[in-house]
Amino acid sequence: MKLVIREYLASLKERGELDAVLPDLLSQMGLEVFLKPGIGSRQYGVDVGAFGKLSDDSISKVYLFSVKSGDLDRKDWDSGNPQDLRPSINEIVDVFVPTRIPVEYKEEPVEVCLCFGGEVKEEVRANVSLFLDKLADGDLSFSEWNGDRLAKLVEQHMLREELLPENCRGLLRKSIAMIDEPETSFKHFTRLAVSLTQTEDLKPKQVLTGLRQLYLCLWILYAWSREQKNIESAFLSAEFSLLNAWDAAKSEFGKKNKVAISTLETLDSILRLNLQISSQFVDDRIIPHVGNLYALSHAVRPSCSVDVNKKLFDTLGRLALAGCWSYWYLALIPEDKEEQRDRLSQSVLDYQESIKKLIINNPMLFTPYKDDQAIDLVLAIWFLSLNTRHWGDINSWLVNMTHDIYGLFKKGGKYPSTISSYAELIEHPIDKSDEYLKSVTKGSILYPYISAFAAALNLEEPYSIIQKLKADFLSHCNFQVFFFDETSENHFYRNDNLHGATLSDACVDKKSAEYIEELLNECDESDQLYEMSASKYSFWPILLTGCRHYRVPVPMHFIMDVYKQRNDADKHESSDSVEGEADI
Amino acid sequence: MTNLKKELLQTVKDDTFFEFIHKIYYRDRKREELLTALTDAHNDKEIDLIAAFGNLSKSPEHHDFFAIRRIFEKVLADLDAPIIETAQCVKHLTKEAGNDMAAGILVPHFIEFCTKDPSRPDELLDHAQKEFQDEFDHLSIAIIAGTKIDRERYTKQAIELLKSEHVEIKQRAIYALGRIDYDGEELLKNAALAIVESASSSQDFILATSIRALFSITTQSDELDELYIEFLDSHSMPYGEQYVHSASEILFHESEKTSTSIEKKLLDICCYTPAENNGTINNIDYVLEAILKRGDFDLCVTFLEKFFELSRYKVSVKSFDSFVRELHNHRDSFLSTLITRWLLAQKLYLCKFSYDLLETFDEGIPLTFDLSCIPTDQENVHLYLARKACGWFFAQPKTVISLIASLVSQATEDELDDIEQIIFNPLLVSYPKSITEMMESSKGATNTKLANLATNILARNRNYKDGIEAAHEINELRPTESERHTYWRHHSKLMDESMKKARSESVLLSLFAGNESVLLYGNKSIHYVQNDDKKTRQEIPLQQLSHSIEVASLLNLDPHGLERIIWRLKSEGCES
Repeated sequence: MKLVIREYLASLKERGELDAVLPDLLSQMGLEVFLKPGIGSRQYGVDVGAFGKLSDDSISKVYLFSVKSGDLDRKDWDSGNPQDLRPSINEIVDVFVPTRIPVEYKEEPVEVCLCFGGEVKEEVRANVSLFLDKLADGDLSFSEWNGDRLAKLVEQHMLREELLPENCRGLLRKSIAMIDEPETSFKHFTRLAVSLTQTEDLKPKQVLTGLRQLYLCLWILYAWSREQKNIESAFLSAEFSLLNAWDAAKSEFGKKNKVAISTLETLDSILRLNLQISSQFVDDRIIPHVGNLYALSHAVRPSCSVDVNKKLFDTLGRLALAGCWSYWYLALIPEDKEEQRDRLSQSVLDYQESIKKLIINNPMLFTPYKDDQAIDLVLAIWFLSLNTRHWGDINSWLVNMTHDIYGLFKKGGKYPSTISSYAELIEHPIDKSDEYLKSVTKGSILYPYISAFAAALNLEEPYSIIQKLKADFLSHCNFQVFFFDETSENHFYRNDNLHGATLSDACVDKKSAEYIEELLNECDESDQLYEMSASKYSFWPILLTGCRHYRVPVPMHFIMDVYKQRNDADKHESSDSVEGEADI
Repeated sequence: MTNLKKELLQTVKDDTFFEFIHKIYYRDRKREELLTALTDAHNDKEIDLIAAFGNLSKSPEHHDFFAIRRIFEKVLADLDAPIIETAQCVKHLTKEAGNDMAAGILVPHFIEFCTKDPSRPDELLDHAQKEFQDEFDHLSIAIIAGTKIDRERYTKQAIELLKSEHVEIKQRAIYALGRIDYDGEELLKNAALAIVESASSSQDFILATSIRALFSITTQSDELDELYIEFLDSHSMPYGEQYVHSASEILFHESEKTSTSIEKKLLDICCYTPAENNGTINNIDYVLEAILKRGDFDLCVTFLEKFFELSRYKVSVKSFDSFVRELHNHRDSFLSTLITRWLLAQKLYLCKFSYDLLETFDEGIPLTFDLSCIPTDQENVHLYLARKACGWFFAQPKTVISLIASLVSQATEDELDDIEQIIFNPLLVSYPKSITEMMESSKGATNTKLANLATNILARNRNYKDGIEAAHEINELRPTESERHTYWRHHSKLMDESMKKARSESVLLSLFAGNESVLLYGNKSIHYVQNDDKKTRQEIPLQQLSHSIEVASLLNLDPHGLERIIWRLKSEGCES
């Protein structure tokens, strides 16, 4: 286990990674963390500050950590860069110690900790020792926290047998061992995450420990995945961890005690890690290739068209979700921080453009094979619809898609079905009989959602094609719309039971205005969405994450909000006769 | 009494007669002796061969029917037997043979039997008229046999029968007139005129018999060609199926006797062949093959296009497989011209038939358009042909690219831009290996336009390839292990089924008749051959056979988009 942790620590980067793990470790060791890494430059050479007594010390001390990633070699020690360790230590001694230590710890002895994930290279060992010996005096001492020591501490304080039972350690090891087979790796990690986020009969502090362990385990998995150039398992595990951690931590929302605050901080860390992994997948792995014709379709290395279809719709959903998180984050930035807002606005626009490029250069995204791909489709359309400049493109996409689907039904091709098994999907359709068609299209969320968007954005053609599809081929099919109910809050985040309610026989055959009215009425009736904790605390992307991850239809309220905004804008436009854009 | 005759009599009693004569004739090879013994025994009334063979049935478990019937054929003419009983026996043996090609072989021997006694044809003719039998034609046999005794009398008798109100008797008389060996212009002309007269406004089957009989008569005289042409002209549409079939049979069987003008007339009739008449179509196929062999390509094309139109394109050119095979012997001329002509015709079906002409070639063949067929005053005609070639021959990259390349020298600059786009996507994107190879080879072409086009496409390909290769290491997008395994099983199942089907239809494997020998290890087969007392050891190295075809990558990446593009390329600018 120590080797696993050691490798993980060695692979961490300095900013936002090694220094992010350290506070949790110190807290678990019983120290009071008074300084955490912030955005921007470090504070006079210090990344993390803590106070307390380590188990092998006789007195309490102020511990000041200066963090470096990987091994400490000559170029990290003193190569003229202000971020090097030697100038950082000078800064700590010269500035931080006299002026920045909190008043209550002013009189306490100080230990400056040189922290790095790897080890001190022999080439600089003598320099470091001589330098530190020279600076040390009675109340100021130095210590080396290398990868070995950190790994030992992590194992001892975060993952020790009493805290993380052997079966959990085994699951972590298995999930790391199977990174190249993400399906298997993720399966092991889900069991670990479920185990670490259980709250039944546990005290808040134990829940906090579980969450910290989950965060650390997720980091370990991610670090190893990153090394192996396959973060698929980490991506799925991060989503799953976030959803389960949310459910485990939500009872602490609104509380002011120390454990509650720490719990929420750890939840925040898990959320950030999820976004980091998602960002690496989307920004580093996918977006650079969305502009190249068929590049991502080829990257699937498919055996058949089903492989491409499944992966591309999944990728579309992930990309759209990443965009939604960006959009959400933009709303949190105060109005006066214009530069940051502009940067994020551009980021949202970039995600939207990337989605369009992904679709154009990978035309498989015009023909969903599985009905539940409606979820990815809805995420993408909803995200694109946030900006009216994309509405024309949404229309083109839906017109082509519905035409293609109609053609597939007509020719008996690979029309969308409710088949979930891959083996059946590659053979679909096994024949052209009505009986078979009916058996694999008994119900659908795909068409009602396309119709809902078409009606909400006033796109006549796709709406009428869906009507024709229903009349010509799918009169037997139950067009349905999903809503959260009062049980959803208890089961949605963990997906541990069925929840929600479905509106059957959505009336897409009627005029779009009537359909909208039906949906609006039902949204008013089934308004449990607003009672979900993620809604209450304005973390609505968590709901979308859950919908994507657990393959739950996106609540219709999201689409109806688009309709309401359009409706309001139309009214506003007609009353003011002023052209405007409902831009983000 | 000879020993053999005695044995014969005994086998009749023992009910082993057929087995015995089979053994003597085929195994003991005492053929002449047996035939003499049989004839003698019958004519001496010791054995009734007519009665015996009248009971011979075609049951595979008992005798070799055709082999035994052949012995009867050999003795029939020399038998002394009543004509009617013999006729019944011949009828039985002919009917028993069923649809076998050899069913009618007995008839000439029966005719010879009839000629042996001048009373026999008369008696048989009388019998054939009084007791008309649908299923067997004794009437024409009687007339043909009669003419061998008294040509004039029986010919006149046949002509007289053309007036019969019984249409089947009339038809059989016409048939008989067509089979007579005339000796004298007058009799010949009389017969021909009588048929022409009797056939006017007749039923299809009468006309069908008439056209053949008349052909047979008129080809016996240089002066009757006109009469035959008049006959053909006088029977205009709608043509009956049997009439058309007879026309095809004349063309097929009597090609050497058919003059050019008559051949054209008969082909005109054959244009009206109903789509479902495979027999007629097969005859025409051989005829077209022969016409093409002698180089009359235009006649074939004119016929085919008219035939397709009249049959509403229900029959493909594939049905004329012999013609298509011959066409492939002239790839650079006739095949190239035909494909150019049909793609330019702007008719969906003719385009489809162009595809059918090359369907059997998995990867395609190098082929060029016939530039002399391309109109010079038609705007974008080269682009049109390039798009058609891409649409119809998409599955055969070698064909498409060679066809398109042949257009480049005449294409305008604007057309070349669009042609470049087609070659890049969908062709190169689908078949990166073969199209790149072809473009590489065209890079140094003497034709500057072609060389430039190839250079541009290769440059686009480099960008495209760079984009793909950059994304190639996204491991996260790979299908899961279980999916890969599931697909592998699915694929194996398909291959297995395909292999079983191929093996079940394999002519080669059927020769082993279940004695196939499977080697589990090694790559040589060792066996011993026994030659008298000597054993010879033989080693046969195993041969490895492999065949690979490049499958369009877009079939996985964007099958529906590809289908849409291909359909658009196929159908645009065409009427269905």
